[in-house]
Amino acid sequence: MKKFFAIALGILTAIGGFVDIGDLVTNGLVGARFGLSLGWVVVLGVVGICVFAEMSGRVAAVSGRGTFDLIRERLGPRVGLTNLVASMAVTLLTFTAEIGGIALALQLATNVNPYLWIPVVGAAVWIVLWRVKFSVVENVFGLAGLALIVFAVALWQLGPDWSDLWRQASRPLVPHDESHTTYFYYAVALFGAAMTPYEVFFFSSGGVEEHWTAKDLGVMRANVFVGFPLGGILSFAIAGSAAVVFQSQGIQVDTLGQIGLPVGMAMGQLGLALVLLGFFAATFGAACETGLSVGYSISQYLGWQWGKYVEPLRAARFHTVLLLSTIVGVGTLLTTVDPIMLTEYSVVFSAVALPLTYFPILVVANDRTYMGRHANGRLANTLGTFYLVVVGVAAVAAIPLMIITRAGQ
Amino acid sequence: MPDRANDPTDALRRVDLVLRVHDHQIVGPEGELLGNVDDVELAEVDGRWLVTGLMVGPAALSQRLPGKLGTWTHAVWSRLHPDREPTPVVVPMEHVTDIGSAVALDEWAARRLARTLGLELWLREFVVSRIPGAKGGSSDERPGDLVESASSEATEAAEGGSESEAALRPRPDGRPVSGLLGRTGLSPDGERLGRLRDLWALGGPRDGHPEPLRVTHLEFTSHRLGAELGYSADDRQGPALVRAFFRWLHRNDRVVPISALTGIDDTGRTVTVETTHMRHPFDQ
Repeated sequence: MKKFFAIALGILTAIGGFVDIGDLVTNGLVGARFGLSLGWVVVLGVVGICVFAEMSGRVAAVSGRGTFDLIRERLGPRVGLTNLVASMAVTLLTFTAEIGGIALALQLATNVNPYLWIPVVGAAVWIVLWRVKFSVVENVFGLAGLALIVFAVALWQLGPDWSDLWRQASRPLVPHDESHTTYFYYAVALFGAAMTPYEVFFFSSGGVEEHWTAKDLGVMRANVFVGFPLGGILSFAIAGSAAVVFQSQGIQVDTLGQIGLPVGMAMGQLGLALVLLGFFAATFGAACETGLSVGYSISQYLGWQWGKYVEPLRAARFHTVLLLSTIVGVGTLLTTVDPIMLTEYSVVFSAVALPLTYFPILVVANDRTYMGRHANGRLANTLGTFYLVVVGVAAVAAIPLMIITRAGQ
Repeated sequence: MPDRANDPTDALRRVDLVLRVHDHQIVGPEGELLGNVDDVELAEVDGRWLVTGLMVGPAALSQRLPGKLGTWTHAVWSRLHPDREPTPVVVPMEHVTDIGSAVALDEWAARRLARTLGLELWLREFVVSRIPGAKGGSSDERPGDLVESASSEATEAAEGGSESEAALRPRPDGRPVSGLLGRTGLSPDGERLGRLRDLWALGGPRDGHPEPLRVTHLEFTSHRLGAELGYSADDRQGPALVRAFFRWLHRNDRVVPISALTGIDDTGRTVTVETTHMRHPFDQ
């Protein structure tokens, strides 16, 4: 019974924790402009993150090593350092965007200017990273993030033409008023949002934090293969409700408030309250995950003691990195940069950084010296190789598409 | 722990120094993370090349970083070090208890290595312990205890170069592996064999008992790309497409026994080897 409860809790937090500011913004924006015609990218991205999260989780459970440990080990200190700088630039950008997202969610709830919220939010995120137990962070924000299910309920209540939505999703076409390049630019952005590298940094290091062993592989796989796809359905619901409300009116979505609006229209104040709770929990949870990922990765590259499973004084360098990244994130936001724009850039640059993370994971998950009989099987390798190609194409295409479309305009 | 019975390379107990030791995490007996193997120290003892120590810390890492970055890392490290003429930290091989996904040390070495972590100790004392809520050590310790004990250890180590500091010094006859890697291998008649990419060794700690780790072969490659991915150590490592690519790329790789080594030229960055027993890494 206890085990069943643990599995259920893991799955629920995986669902609630799946969506972050990148998914919220990109799905809302894409839904309003392209309907569900980019739904295939969400499916592609969710399967991809499942494949690689499972691999990195399995390596962490069997060998006890987090992802960046392995990156340095297999790429050497020089290439590993280039990789670290690129991956951390993207993760720090995402961290900043998440803090901005929390401030925007609080602005929607309180009408207080987000720039007043940003320092408060930064302090709150840091206190959580400093003092709150790892499992508490994961469970509380994951469960509260489940409030985003209101998007699915709202989509239902809005009473869309289901056959039309299904046709859009199953037979994707570029809408008449959009060019092919913008279509594929947003395809790359959605893919980057679904497969953000920090997710595997966090997932694998989290496995070490929770002392996974080979015995925990079943629970880990349940979280990944059930939790992540159900989380992906939330992405669909966000895009779908934006499509129903905005696409026919030709309205562009560029604020967090607009993304939540369909829920308000369908379900009134209760819906709005839940959507705000969902926004807050999803962005706050993801802010903790990205902040920790910065600390995990830098520490693992340099071999420092890291993790919340040891007392802070025993991981002084790790906690100093957490503190500094929070200061950098808050400082960046206070230059009055638009958090939504930051988010859009962060998902595209995530797409660029994808091969840096996923290639070493694929190689190490095949190393039979560490992994023994838990090394990749044929299915994991077929999917892994396929995704390596997809990820490579997305990474190469991202910057040219960004320039040609002037970031999707 | 990984399943050793299914381990293909374990039967030979071959340790590829770059693949299996370089850049691996170092852990203490309690699982504490103490740094990475930033370099490996070799020495010629009684005609045999032995792995004599693990080099840890910025000094060792700086040798392996490119150009200015390496020079600066070294300069910053030596400027901030409390000693006037600091030496790199080297953990003697006798204190290594396991080489797996991590390299494990015994308690003697773990305790001494922890005292060399200057940045950690400094941040612990002057930054992190001053933040409200800082905790460390067991629950009945006061917050300051860990800091006090750590800093008293540090002062003890700084004063008069105590036994522990001397214990982690490099050997006078030792040379870092990174100084050999990348060197061009030459046959006696001057033919290029490629660049040195890895050194194979036999032995090493088993079940917590230290045993000498002896270098047996030198591995040369024409392409250093992907040299640390492991495809030349295990010819069945997947995925098939990636393996096929790297095996093709490394099709001209050559290994020679260490006994074939006839000369190390430090100025020309070359090593000279006899080629009578030269073979491809996968040939038996």
